[in-house]
Amino acid sequence: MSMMADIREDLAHTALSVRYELLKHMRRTRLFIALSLAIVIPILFYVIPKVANVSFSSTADGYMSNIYSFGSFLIIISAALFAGDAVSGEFESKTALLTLSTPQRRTSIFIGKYVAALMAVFTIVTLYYLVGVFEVVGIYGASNVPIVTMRSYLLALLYSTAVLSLTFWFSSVIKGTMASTLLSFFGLIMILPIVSSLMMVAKVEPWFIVTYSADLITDVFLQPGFAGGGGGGGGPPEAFTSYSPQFTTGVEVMAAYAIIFFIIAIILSTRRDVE
Amino acid sequence: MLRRGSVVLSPAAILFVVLAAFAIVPSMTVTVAGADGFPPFQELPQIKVTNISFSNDNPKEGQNVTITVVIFNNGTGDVPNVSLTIAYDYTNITTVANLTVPAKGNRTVEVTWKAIKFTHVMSAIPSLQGVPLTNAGMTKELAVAATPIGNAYVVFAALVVVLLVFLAAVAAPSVWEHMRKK
Repeated sequence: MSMMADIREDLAHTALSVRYELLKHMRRTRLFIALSLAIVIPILFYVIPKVANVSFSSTADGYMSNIYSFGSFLIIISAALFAGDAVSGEFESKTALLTLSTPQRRTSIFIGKYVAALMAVFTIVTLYYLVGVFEVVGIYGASNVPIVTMRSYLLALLYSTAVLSLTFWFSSVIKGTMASTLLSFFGLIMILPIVSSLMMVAKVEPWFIVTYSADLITDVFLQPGFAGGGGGGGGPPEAFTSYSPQFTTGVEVMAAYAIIFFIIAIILSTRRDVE
Repeated sequence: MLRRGSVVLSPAAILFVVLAAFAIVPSMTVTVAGADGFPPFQELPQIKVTNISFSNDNPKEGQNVTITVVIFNNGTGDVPNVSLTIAYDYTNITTVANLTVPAKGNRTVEVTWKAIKFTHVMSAIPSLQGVPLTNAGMTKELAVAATPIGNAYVVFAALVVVLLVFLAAVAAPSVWEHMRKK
């Protein structure tokens, strides 16, 4: 069999795995929960000021920056829902005995799982941004939708790949599904941001932490914010030094996390034994 | 009547002394001159910053903003040697010294500042002889927008690279096997 034929077969197997995993996601309530969050969160930003009789942000950029500040949380939640148990679940419930005995490479099975989770997260993020854009059109008019929304959206997609790779890595390293899901969730939502904050206190820029790079998702909107590389507000500058991620560095860090953790996760998953 | 060690006056004499004292005191004036010859009492300077304005109320990071500060003197005499400190948040932009604010008049000070992104509290505080007159100062908020960062093509390119790596990972085992066979 030629190399090209082998590659085609691998691609077909991966596509089959993706289809099967997507079907599994659709049957679960997780997809419904994530979709609901993607719709409800931006709607709350519209409804609450209306109910409380509070005026919206003076600019569309400010409004979008507020909405999408929850984007990174939604991505982490979605990644934990779709990929938290992707590998560990197979080994814990022993379904790997069935799936891994098929005449299909392990890599194509796990890459299929990864791609299906990525597609699900991309769908959630896309829906989240669409609802936000519709609200901006309703409040500020279609001509006031910021062009940088596309930049923010692409950054959110790139961050999704990084978060998913990290979650997949946790799932391939840890045995229990609950432990892998919780560790990836709390690691991204709490532990890494705490490490970033501590480093800032020590006046070290945490440029290599992916959750720090995620700030770019909202930083791209033209909002007055903290000065990059130092400065602060509300107190003397000596009291606390705050940093903003540099654009190119942030993008590189997200891409590096996505690629490195993906490769490690695939290698670890394919070498893992069913006990 | 004379007693040892004391002078004893009659009641009539005491009344006379008291009345005489009342008559004399109002007519007495005491003038104490200062070292420079001017009387020590001076009218307190009545200067106050009445306005802070910016050449651009919505500047972007890196743009030059001209800050115009107006000091008003409500007193009857000119106030010399006024210093004006203009700052953003807790950081000084500049201190303009040796200003004279005319009586019942204004003095305008203009300063150019390169805007830094943040919502700043801009302040202008006058001082006299090194003593800041905090109550005579004024603050005003200025939001400086950040310049657009990055571009979508860079992110798109990074995303394409990541997706290509995923695709390459599918093909990698087959390629690796064929290379090993060869």
